[in-house]
Amino acid sequence: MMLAIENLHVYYGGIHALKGISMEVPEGSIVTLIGANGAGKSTTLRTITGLVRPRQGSIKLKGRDISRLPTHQIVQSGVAMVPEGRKIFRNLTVRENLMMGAYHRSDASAVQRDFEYVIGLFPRLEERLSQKGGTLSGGEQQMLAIGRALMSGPSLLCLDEPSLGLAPLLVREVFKALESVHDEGRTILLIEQNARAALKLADYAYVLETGVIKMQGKASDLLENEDVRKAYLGG
Amino acid sequence: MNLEALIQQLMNGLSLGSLYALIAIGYTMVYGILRLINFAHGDIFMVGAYCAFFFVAIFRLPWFLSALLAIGLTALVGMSVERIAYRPVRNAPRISALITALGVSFFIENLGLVTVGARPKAFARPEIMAKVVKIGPAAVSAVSIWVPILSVLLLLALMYVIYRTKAGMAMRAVSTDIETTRLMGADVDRIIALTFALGSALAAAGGIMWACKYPQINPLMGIYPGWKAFTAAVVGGIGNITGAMLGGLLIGMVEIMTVAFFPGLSGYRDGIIFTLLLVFLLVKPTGILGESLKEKV
Ligand SMILES: Nc1ncnc2c1ncn2[C@@H]1O[C@H](COP(=O)(O)OP(=O)(O)OP(=O)(O)O)[C@@H](O)[C@H]1O
Ligand SMILES: [Mg+2]
Repeated sequence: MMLAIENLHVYYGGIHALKGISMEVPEGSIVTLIGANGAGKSTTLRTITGLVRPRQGSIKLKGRDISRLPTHQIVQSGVAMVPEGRKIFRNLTVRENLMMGAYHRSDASAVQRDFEYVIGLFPRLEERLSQKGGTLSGGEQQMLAIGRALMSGPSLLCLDEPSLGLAPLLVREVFKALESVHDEGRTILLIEQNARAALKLADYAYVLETGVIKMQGKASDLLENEDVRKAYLGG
Repeated sequence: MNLEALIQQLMNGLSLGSLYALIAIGYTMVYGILRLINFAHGDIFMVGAYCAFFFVAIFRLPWFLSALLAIGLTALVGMSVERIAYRPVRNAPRISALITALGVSFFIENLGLVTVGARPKAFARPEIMAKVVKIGPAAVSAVSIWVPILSVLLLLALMYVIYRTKAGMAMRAVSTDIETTRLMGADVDRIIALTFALGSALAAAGGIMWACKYPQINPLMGIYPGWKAFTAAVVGGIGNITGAMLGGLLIGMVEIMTVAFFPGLSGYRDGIIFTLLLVFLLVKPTGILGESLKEKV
């Protein structure tokens, strides 16, 4: 199992944001976590990457509990995150943003390989390598955020709403890129409000509602499910 | 004023200004990364001068070796201040951090008074700094020429680190977004420690050169230069490195020229600088280069 979360409880002061969620991400799969605003999707990812600390529960990466490690060590053990809102380093160039993704790696030739891979995945970034990250369009910034995460050579790629604020055409482009990243053998945990696109892409899905996993199953099954259609797919 | 005096005053302003610039950079780098005004920075400058003094006077080391060791040791002191005093309050409300910084400043000053005493010590400067050099008609003290030259070399080295090295890239990343820098697998604590080390090293270099220029040192010598360099950082646009350099030069020139052109006002030289600080804080708190405040470290 790439990632196994068990009985995770997270609080913000008095707010009980995650109420004992458990989920699994098998190696080589795409798993999606969908849910409405405020359901706790971002909180889940932020807890996985150590930005928020759980009060209870465990998070195992390939069998090893990472829930008490500092963020940089979690990332070094193979988890990369595309944060909500992309969080590009505005004052760094596109190239520097990508190199920040590889910050902890010392194998220069592997970094170079991944750099070429990312440029191949998002050719638009190539002409903009020496441009400041803040000057990119929203779609380009999203590609840069994904590319930056891939530069760490992760075994698990987590994405927090990569389709947010993108035109449909760009959403398709981003999802196609994710598919090809998956074809390369990487494991993906995708958080989305765009449930239809996410369910089409994913193997398995969890539905989160106010801090509780309300439903789970094969993504193709949830896509057909009456309740899911009503609540998340607009009927 | 005749040409001779003008050249002397210009060199004076230039050297004083580059010293302010060296100190101002430490304020601005720490502010860029932590949004903290490190009030103890002027005292770090004093520590640099004393370290060099002791290496020369007590350990009898050659002058330049002493200066290098003092810079290294002061960098360690700066890192320790961050580790011991600032890191524990990093996530506390900003006012707690400011009060901590004031406390550290008083602590270092008083530790200095207790250990080395309040009486000024004569700082031995190397032969080449003590000489008098001719620029055109003017006789200028060599230190006024060396200080700007060495400062420019140090600033170029700093720019190289910040814009051409991986560590410098990480410092720029931290200054925009600490959390996302963590997500890059970078140990932010180490990057912050490095920032303090660099800022303190520059302050130490400034302190040593200051002591060459005004060869009497005492444990409170960092207070006024510290405040003026802070003014320089604000005037240049706090958080902005180029701004700190410009601000330093400007403050140094204003101070020297006030004295040169209005000798009657020379008693007010500090007052004039701090009035400038207040005016900027009220009218343009983002400073001269405030527009490009996002380019901060
Ligand atoms: N820093 C915080 N302090 C206090 N409460 C928070 C904080 N972050 C999130 N919350 C609360 O925790 C709950 C879950 O928030 P979270 O951001 O995880 O939701 P989400 O599913 O990602 O929503 P969205 O789709 O809007 O991004 C919400 O009720 C939110 O108000
Ligand atoms: Mg969210």
